[in-house]
Amino acid sequence: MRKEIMKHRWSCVLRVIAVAVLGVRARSQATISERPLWTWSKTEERIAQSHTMTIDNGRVQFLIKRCIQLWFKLNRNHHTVGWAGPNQANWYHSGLFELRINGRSVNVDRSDLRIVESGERGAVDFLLENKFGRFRTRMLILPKSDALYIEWTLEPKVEVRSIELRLMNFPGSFASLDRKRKRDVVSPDGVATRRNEPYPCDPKKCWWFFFRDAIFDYAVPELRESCYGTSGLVLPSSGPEEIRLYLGNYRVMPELIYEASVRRFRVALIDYFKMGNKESLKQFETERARVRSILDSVGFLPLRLVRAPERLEESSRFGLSEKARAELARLRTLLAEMPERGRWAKEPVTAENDTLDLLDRVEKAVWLAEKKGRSTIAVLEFRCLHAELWGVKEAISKVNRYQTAYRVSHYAEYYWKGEEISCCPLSWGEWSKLDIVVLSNVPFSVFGARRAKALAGWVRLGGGLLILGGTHSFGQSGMDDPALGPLLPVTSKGAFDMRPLKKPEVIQLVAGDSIAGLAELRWSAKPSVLWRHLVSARPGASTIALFGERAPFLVICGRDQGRVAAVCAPPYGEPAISTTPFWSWHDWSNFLARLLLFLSQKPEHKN
Amino acid sequence: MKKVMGVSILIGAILCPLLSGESKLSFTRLWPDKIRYLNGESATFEVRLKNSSKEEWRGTVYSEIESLLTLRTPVFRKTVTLGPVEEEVFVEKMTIKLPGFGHALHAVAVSGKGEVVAEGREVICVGRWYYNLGRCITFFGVRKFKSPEEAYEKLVKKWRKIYVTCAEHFSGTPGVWAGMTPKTDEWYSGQGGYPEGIRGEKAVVESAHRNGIAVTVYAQTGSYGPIGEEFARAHPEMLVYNERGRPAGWFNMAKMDFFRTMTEENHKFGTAGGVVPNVALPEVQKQGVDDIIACSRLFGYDGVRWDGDTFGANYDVFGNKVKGDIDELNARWVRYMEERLMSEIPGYTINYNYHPQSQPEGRKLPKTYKEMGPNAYILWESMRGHYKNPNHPLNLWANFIEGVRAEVNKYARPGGNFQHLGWYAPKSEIHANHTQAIYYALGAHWDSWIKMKYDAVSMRYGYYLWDLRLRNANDAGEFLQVDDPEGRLWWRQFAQERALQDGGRELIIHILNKPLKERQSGFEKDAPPVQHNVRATLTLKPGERCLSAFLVNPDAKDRKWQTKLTPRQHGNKVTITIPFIEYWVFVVWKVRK
Repeated sequence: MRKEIMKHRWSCVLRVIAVAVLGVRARSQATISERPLWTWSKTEERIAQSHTMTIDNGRVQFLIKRCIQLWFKLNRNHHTVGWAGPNQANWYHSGLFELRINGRSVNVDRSDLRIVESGERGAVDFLLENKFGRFRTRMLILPKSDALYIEWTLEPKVEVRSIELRLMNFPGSFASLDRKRKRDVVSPDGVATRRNEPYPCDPKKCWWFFFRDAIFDYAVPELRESCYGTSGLVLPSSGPEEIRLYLGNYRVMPELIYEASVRRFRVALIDYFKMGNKESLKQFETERARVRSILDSVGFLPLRLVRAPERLEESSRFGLSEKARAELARLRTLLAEMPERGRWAKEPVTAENDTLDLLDRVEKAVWLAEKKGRSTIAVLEFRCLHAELWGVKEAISKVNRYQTAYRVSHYAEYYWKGEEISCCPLSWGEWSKLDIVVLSNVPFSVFGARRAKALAGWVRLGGGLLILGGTHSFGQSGMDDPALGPLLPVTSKGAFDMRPLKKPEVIQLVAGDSIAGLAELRWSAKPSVLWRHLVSARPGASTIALFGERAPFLVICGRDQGRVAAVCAPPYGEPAISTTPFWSWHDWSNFLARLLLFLSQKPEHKN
Repeated sequence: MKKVMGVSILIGAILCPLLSGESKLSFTRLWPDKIRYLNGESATFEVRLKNSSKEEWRGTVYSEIESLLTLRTPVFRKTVTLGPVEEEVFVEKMTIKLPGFGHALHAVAVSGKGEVVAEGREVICVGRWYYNLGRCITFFGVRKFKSPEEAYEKLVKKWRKIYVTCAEHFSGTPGVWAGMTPKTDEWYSGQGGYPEGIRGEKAVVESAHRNGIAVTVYAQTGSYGPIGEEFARAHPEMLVYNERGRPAGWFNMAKMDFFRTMTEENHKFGTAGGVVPNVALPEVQKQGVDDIIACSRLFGYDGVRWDGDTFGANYDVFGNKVKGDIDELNARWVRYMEERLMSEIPGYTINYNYHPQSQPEGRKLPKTYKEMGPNAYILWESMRGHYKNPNHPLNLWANFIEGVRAEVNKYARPGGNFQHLGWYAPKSEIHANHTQAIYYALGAHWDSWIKMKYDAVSMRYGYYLWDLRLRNANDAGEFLQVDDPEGRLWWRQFAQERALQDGGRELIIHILNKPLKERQSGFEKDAPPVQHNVRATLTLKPGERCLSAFLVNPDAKDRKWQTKLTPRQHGNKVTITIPFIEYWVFVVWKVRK
């Protein structure tokens, strides 16, 4: 009996441990959401835009913000990236560094912010491209770690005589008390307090720095409202050649000077959000050596590339085209030289981009070959207002001849910071797992240029795209998007294209044969439309159903190897009892189910 | 022997209170059934007198209502015999016929020798405009209450203790706009996710009304949560849109989907976002006011707090931009709301969130505020955060006083509005005492949920603080001199005048003992040193004489706030001496030719 109890206890303990471990693992997945480029200030003299990524590793939400400022009259521009959250100040939200080559800032002309990796780790690239060259700043977030690991990779187009990396820190607060602040930096050299003079630091000795403000200490309750906490900087074993530290009254600037031949360098930043000076310094003391050790050893190459050779072995199973086979061979060469041989030595940024492009192309070729044989239909629904009314999930459950997989990404829009979606495929590998993407009143604008291009590319290669109407769709969607706009089977007059109908109009099926099963639905119930979008079918598109005076309700088109469908009326308005609004029609989910099956390009009857 | 005598004196001193029945007599409860009455209403006062000694006590007990500075209205007078450890309860009814603002129910026990042996005061107020009589408070999450009695025990009783005359159900309606009247028995409010229900809400309103506390409902041009989403779906023509043709406002669909299925087990506070109705459209105005009326009738609300500006540079569903004078449009909306609400629900009040006109925040809406008055309540909500920010000008006490004064002078008193300022919950009683005193001394109100030092006294002397006929003087230095060689006192900014019907005038001079520091701190630990024997000299106008001078000291112990002063007049100068100033005193001078 006692044995039984003990056994039971152990099984309970093991179960608890298993839950804890699995739970931690689940939580330690890094997710990234993106808010595309958004203009937050526009005057005659200046335009200011921001572009934000939020990386959540289950412990901290790292907000990475790209800022672009253009001064028209001065013909100047400035492109920066900052660590905007959880702390606004420390690693300055609007620009944590400036990179200078030969004494000139290279934070100019063109920049981009890209998601590189999510899942096990999170990684985001800030890319600068200009007459000086290509410069990549990769920000890496690891599970169970509060530090932001950064690697700069330089691919200069000019002869490099000097490299300086100026880091910007506003310790603890932007505020002042009676116009006073007291910025201090602790390092192995002691406590630096002297203002407005460069502190030379011994780079062999000074591998860590701790930034704080003696007045704005989060431990002081009176000032807590204006305090963020402290921050730390950790350098790797192979650090800069020279370090200078500038302490201003407002900004603190560690300047790291590297040998002109160096093409990669790293730092780790720590942000002690809402921690007092004493407490955070103690924590920094205990963790900085570990952070340095990680900084020395962690790989900044995308895991997708690291694992590619293994996965490519499988691709030979599929009958690839000659072109694809040639690309596969080129890819293998690049992967074999990774990360510092061959092209990678001279053009590390371009070589990686090209390798990722090639990997995409090979994976696309594999997808085309593999997709047809798949027995599931995978749907990703992007949900905006009124998505519930469209009932996509219910429709998917009615595509009963196939197994279905359904995922959701949520849209959000804020008048003060722009729009975002909670998740989106980051690589071709993720797109390739999908058969249909449904935009339930989700605008194109939220995708931003790169993701829009990826989505459009996926459609053209054989994906199915369903656009559903509403407040954020069609004219309100940003149909001028160069990648997604041309995919649509309809054109819109632009924003404000929703109109109420004078009376409910019954939907008429005019080309029911184009989509299997539509004609069999119970159209006698007279499903009706109360609001419409002012859209017209594009030449070459097929209008399947219409209402009123030949207004399109359902329009479809083929786009290369993919299919696109648009439902051009929103589920809006308050119907009279005698009217059957189309979204309440008992066959509405069957209608959508047949449409989804059509978009998936799967045969009506599984072989 | 000397030593023994000393001991016997000591023993005598210890035993004497125990043997004396009179010293153990106390009023254990003075309880008006309501905190606020209307004239003509019947009031019930409960007075409990306890004899804690082991001896019988005989004497007279009387009660009266103290009003203004000198007015007394008798309630009852009785000869009483109380046995040892006996308590007697006096329940007296009277029909209220009193001047507006605050009063004290004063109970006194007098011994056979004519000595006052016990005394107590409880404060009440009389008047319709509940915003201007005491404190306001907000509440939410009242689904849990099953009866008015339970609501009283767990909520309303606390309001009584802090002299609340108006409680606002903040954002408790299902969707705010287009969803104020519930369609289900229970719901989570669209804006805050607060658990609410019809039974709980009715219980709170009923209990508050039993206690003379008005209850208002929160409203704004925002339709929140799944109800807002449904409103946007059913009536796209009623919304305001941004330049992209999308509904103005904000929302997060992950939260919206969660909210839709939220239960008690996974409940979270917060909102999923909302859309903005286009109040420029008459049908939208009608719909909004219909909803306010319906929910007010259902629950018995006494008024509504309208939160924020109504119009912005937005578009209708067809892309037409809202044109014209935004202030005028807003004022028209306020007028419409006011006219309909007041005609359909007699006595209904409207209040409004307020962007201070003298501070660089928000749009200036003088026409709107004018339209609000008289007898509306305007709330400077953003005030609550400014003092915490050392970079904000209002963090400095001097700027703070000038800011509040300018707002009250320009927009509250002349418009007949009742100026309420943002609520604070500072960690420091010292800071709260100063802030509360400053607000009251300038004619504004305090809006908070915590018990504060001046809750009772401010209600009692509301006539001298909040009467809309009071005018703040530009500089009291023109007619007053306060001896303050070390500059420890504020008074120049804190003087008011009221013209009296008999041709005289009343001057109310507030004197505040300054905080020790120039800056505000919600964590202030150091109280300023008490100032003693402060002399103040009033210069009269030619031919005027001083009829009376009363000192009200809100820091006085045992609610003995009021003292009649004996002013000394030399020529046109009248001098009084204030025994002590802990934080705040005020002197009411009555002068006439």
